[in-house]
Amino acid sequence: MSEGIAVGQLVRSRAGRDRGRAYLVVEVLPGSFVRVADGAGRRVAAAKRKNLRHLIVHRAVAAEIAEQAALGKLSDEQVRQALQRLLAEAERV
Amino acid sequence: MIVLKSDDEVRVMRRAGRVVAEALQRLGERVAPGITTGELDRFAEDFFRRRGAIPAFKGYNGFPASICTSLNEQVVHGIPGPRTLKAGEIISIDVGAVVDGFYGDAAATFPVGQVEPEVERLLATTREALARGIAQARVGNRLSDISHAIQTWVEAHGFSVVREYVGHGIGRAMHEAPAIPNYGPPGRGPRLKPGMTLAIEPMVNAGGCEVVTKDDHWTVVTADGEWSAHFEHTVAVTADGPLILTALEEEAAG
Repeated sequence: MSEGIAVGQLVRSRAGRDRGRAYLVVEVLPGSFVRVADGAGRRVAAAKRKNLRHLIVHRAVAAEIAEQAALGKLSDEQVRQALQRLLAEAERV
Repeated sequence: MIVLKSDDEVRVMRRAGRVVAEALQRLGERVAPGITTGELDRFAEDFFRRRGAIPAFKGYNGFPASICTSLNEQVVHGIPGPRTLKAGEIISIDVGAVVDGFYGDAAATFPVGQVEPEVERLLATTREALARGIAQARVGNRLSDISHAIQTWVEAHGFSVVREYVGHGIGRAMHEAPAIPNYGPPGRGPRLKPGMTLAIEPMVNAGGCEVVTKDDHWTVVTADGEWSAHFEHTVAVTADGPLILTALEEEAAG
């Protein structure tokens, strides 16, 4: 059964100084790591490398983030908006 | 952290893998027009219990069945039920079992009766992509050499690789580190060492790579409705090369 971890996926830090903070995955690295950003304090250009063990991986995925990242055109503004949208959706359910 | 397994632990995983392989073979023999996906699920559950194995998927994050059955445009994680198979369709069956605390995980896509030549090509390409990925599971290679071999083969044949779901380490848990994407450049990620046990599983779409999850929160379908195939083996990295733990017979790949 495949594991779901995608560019654009909503994650939350479970450890470290940024504990509890929400990010989107902007790159899935082979191994145990992803790169995450929120488009504000943590920008795409300086996306943080995070061990998957230190993240809570939520189900929500922003598909447009994967598309833009694949084109190499992902902006902080897009990440900010998608993150806000996913968080708002997550609160409704 | 990637958990390395001892030779003894790999032997237990081989036992788990063989039960999974036998289940998958028997399920494949039952795939025919008229059977329902629910009947396949019941057969698998009975088979596991008879063999003293625990179905790994049942109850996993709330998954309601012992196997995943994904038809046609369904990519993975389809839930078995009353749906009847029809000639010309394809069904991806994903099977997992626990034996003495260790997991085995494998999948294959089967044609239901006769399928279109282009569908046959999708299945053959995905099966070969898995073989090419497994062949890279060698001591000293890097993890993404597997990813790259799969992507290169699939895209050379005009198909696309699903990005949202990845292969995974496996052992005492179904999902362990590392994540194994089916895409990306070679030479990245951790170096492969003896005792790593990996579930390698290309998910290949005939159309675009985008996928959507249905309202049941499980079934993943292609965004464009084109069909999708899925082949998976659990593999141990050994000093003698990759050892396919979910093979029916002893089989060292490549």
